[in-house]
Amino acid sequence: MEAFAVSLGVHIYLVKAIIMFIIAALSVTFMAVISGLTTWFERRIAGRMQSRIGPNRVGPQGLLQFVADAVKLFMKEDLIPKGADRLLFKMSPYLCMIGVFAPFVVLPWGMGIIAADLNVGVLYLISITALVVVGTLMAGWGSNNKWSLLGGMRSAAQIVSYEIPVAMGLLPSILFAGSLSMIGLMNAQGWAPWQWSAFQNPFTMIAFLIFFTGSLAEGNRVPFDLPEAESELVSGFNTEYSGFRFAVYFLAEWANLYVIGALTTAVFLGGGNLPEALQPYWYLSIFLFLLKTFFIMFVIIWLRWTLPRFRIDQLMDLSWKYLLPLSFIAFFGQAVYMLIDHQFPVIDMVTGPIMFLIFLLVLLKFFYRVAINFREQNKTVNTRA
Amino acid sequence: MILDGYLVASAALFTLGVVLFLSKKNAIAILMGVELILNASAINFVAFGKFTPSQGSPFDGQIFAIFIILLAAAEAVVALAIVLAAYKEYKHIMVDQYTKLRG
Amino acid sequence: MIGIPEIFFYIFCALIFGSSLLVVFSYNLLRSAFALFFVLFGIAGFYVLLGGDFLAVIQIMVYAGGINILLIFGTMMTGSISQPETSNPSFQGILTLIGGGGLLLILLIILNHTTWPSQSLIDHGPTTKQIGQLLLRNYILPFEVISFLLVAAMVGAIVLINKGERS
Repeated sequence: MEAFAVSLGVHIYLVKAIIMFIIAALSVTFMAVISGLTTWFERRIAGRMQSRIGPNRVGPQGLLQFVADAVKLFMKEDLIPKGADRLLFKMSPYLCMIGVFAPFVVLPWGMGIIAADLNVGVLYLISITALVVVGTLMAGWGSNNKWSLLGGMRSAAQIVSYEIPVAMGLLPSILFAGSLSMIGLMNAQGWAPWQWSAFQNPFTMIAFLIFFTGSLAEGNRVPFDLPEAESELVSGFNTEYSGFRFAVYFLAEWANLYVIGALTTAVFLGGGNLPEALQPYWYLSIFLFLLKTFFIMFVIIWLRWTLPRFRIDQLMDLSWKYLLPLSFIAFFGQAVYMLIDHQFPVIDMVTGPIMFLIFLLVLLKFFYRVAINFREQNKTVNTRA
Repeated sequence: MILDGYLVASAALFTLGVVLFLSKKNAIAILMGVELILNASAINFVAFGKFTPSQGSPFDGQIFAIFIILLAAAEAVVALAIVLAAYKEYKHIMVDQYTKLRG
Repeated sequence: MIGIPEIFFYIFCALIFGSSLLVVFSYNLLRSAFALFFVLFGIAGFYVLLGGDFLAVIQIMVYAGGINILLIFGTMMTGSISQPETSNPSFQGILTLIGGGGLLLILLIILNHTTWPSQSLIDHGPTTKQIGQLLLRNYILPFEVISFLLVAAMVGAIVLINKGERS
């Protein structure tokens, strides 16, 4: 395509710029729609869990609710509080938005489908959170409001502390794949669950759980949503924002949910890898990737409406006293495992299926408990009636 | 040459760091000046590593820059701890008003 | 003809010097701290242009995401919040400016009069692997020393902070 455009006499830089612009525009548009749909997704699930219906008026099943919300937000007046640091106040939403959209450069969409396969992909993805931290601190400071300031500082402290367990949790997978690029990490895994990095051996399983917990905290999700604890801080760092600026924060929060889901899928859950026979149908891998990502997002939303919120000291304790030492153990264990695995490759064949079997047993136990709960619940309802 | 571009940029950043370091009263601003100076030197290392690499190991400059970043982390942690301790004692961090030597 | 790296070089230069001038001459310490973030980001851009992809990511992660956040926190915790407009006064401004200008002039004259060795531009590709091997083979001693230093700094900082609380 590039060569064709150049042959027409267009300048090479212009062609490159246009291609970059098209890819960026596609990702951003996709993200805006995805994060809009996620708000609907979350509100419907929340409704189910609280025995109500949730938004169902706009469009089929309320699917277009996010468009209505966006239109409403754009019509609101754009307020800047008195005494605010106007420069920082205005700059903060942009930084947060860049910080959440920048990961899409390296997020894969399926087998080998990616905007740019940086060879430091995962590290880039972790480091770019710095933009979000600075953005929230700016919002907290610039609003000239004590709730905002507290929320911003909490958020920054939380993200900075949880960045370490998250990065350490990724390390066993990186060791296992021998690569930092997203495609490399995905290709090191197979299509079957026992070939996924999460079920490789006990250490990667621990790392997976640490990573998942840590990224919940990094995304300011319940049970770690202290920066916007409604009962204490009104709305946290974005208390003073309204109109379009608030919509940007909203968008960034839901886009972040997708980023967490996609990263987990790509690094731990096999990405969009297909069995050998299905590989010509590349669109299936996109479908599979999105399916896994949405499942992870569903789990996160499920957790949100199930668990209560942590206290700030509990949050810090969890990160520094439990997750961090555990992640060191997982990292060290994975290194030792790989050394042994080099000598006796047969171990590799066994641990994967065993770990997956254990996971299935846990799942079975879980469903068994759920079934018992259902029966008990029905019993009490019947006796009351 | 482009190497000169990086060297000029680094020299200018170094000068700004020195000016910041010398002209401010606030201890944290002085710390920022040190960060600017360290960054300027790191740019120099990486630029020389790219344009005039040593024989056999072209990444020495980058290794130096990594060590500089780590040293800066250690330095910033200790310096901020000292600043906070001083703030507890004096309730300000203007270095020109620290006239008492005994705590 | 100017190539793409040169264009980006000038963009990053504008970012770095625009924000570092704000760092140096702003009287509001918090604005200085936030501007420092963009300086560090621009320097990470320089590293990318110089072929150090791993280094650039480390720069953003440790410098911009760690040290700079620490500085912002330090700023917020040391009373700069109450009077932000005058939290960062300078003294002997003219004198240091003259001195700094002189220093820059000397540096530029030295740069102008030095001839650097012949330059062979090789694209080394991804650097992560080589840097890792260098760190754990040739530079293993500095690596261990610096990890020891980091632990010592951490313990020292905790002791310094806790000292005031106990008495």
